[in-house]
Amino acid sequence: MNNSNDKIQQEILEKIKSGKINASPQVFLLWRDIFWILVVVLLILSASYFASFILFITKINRLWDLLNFGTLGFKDFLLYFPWPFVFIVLLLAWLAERFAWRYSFAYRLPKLYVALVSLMLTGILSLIILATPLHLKLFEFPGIGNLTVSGKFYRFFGDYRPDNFYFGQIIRIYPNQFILKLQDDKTLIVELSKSTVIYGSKIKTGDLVEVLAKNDHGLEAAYIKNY
Amino acid sequence: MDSKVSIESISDEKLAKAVQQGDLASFDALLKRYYEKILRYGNKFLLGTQDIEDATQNIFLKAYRFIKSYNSTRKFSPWIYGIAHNEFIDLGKKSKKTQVVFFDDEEFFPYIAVDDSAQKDISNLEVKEMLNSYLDKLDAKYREPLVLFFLEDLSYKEIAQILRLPLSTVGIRVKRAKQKLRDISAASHGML
Repeated sequence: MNNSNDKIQQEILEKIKSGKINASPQVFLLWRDIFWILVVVLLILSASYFASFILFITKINRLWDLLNFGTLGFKDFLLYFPWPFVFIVLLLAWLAERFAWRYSFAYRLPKLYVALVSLMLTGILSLIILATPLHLKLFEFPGIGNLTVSGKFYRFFGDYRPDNFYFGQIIRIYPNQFILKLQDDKTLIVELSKSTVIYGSKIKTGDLVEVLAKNDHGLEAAYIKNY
Repeated sequence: MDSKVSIESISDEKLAKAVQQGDLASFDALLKRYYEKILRYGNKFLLGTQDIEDATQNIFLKAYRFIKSYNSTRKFSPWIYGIAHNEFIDLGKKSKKTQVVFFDDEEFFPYIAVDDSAQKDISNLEVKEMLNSYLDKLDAKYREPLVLFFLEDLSYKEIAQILRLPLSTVGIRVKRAKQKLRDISAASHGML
């Protein structure tokens, strides 16, 4: 051993002997482990909450139904899908995976498997959250006119859909048009043309329908789905 | 611990357990056993980087600080090399000797595990010679497992624990690193 190494080793021992460096107690190390496990659990739960929020909100604003309406519907679906929340879910799941990396159960596996397990866990937990009334209560509570931050948040994304996409009940029907009563009790005259595609049975008064108009300004229906 | 002779015959694991109970002489013995090994590992991993001695000092101070997190039923060497790996990675990032990689196929995809004894028997001497000549030509991610495997004589399992990688990833990294070494060696001899 050369003198330089010997000197450094002596310095290390001196620092320990002088009390500058102390061995951390077992309880500190235990709490540190508990803290990181809690961080991972919280990240997975947060990712699951946002994933279930995506599923809930896209069901409320009927975004998935746009996929029935050809390329026009598909384009609108892509435009209005809540992608920022997908990014948040992936970011949270990725962070959970990164923090889990401290533990051998995570780093012993290829990252692909850990990512799949993390996403599967997030998916399963999000379906469990979706089965609870949590989102619905946050969406409906405390009622219009007295909205909390969460209420405003839910209403905003619940109403976030294309301006040319409507859902309502047919209250009167004419040869080339019908009057649609929307969920907020407003009415709308929808024009029918030869190019209008109608899915489901022939429309009649009282039917619940979804309408995708050709553009935002006119009300000529491109697609109608009868429920 | 009574005498120098008796302390030298005690295993690393028993010494570490004694340190956990407050025996500083046992820590001194571990320091003597590992200081030069860790310093050599740092010098080979982060070629030409300054402050490796300081980093090595930090490694042993951290080892003492967190000695109670060591599980004495497991081998001591991967534990101390694990602390060293983290410290050297941090030093490498500061001195830009190691790169931050966001996606690495060797870590991401599963590979079939390669038997490390077979790898070692085939070309141990050859690789050691090439390592001494061309180590600086390899990326840090290939250099590190080769140094740990061929120069520090650690097994794949221990390296996997130190680098926090799947066993199969260590196998594939050593295999690719050896191939790269051969290519570099062949190129330098004008064979390619």
